[in-house]
Amino acid sequence: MAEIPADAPRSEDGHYWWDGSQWQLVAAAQGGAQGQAQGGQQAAAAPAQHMTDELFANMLQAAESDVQEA
Amino acid sequence: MGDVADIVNSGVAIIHLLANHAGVQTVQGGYANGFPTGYDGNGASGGTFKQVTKKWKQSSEWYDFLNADFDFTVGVSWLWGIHKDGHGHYIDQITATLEVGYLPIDFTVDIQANFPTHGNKFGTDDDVIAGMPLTMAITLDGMFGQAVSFRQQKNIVVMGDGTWEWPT
Repeated sequence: MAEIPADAPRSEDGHYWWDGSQWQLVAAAQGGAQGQAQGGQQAAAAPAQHMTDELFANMLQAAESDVQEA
Repeated sequence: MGDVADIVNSGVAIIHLLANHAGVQTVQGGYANGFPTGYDGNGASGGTFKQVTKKWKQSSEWYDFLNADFDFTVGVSWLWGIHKDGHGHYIDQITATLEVGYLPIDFTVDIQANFPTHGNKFGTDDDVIAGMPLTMAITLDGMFGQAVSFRQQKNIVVMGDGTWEWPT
């Protein structure tokens, strides 16, 4: 997992960062950095996340395209 | 297209579409009347359909804990460039559209477009350009362990000269 650039956009709840093409889980990136010492703990931590209205909105906004003429 | 009989002023005020993984349901359909007050489709001819669309598509895991592929497209279509006695750029048959490629189970897309009873009048009396403002409310509800919802409302304008405005 890549390290999070200092200027990477974060989701409002701070759980996700934008890598330029998609949102990445902050915990996963930190887990990757810590993973050498802590093994696969981040893999177990990810499912503990819960979908919220804010995350749902972020997901939809990331999937939204510009208006186009058909 | 191009005959007077093709131009229908049904004049609906609301178009309501609802979609889930099983398909799209027209709760309330029809076309809005885009002629300005004082104008109607009698003697009108011509016109070309246009559609503008916005797509939402997710085809990869956005969150590590969630795989919620979806693909749906919301749009507005209208007949533009209608002439009356060789003049004007009128519009009619304005409607909202919703197409679904894929939606997860327990994921619904609700589209409600609200229209005024008539279009607006732009241009000059000799060369009227009709315009129709509409409000499009897009509501997305999902069940991902718990109920989540997202609502977006846009003020869209479609014009008789084929132009349009759909703010981001």
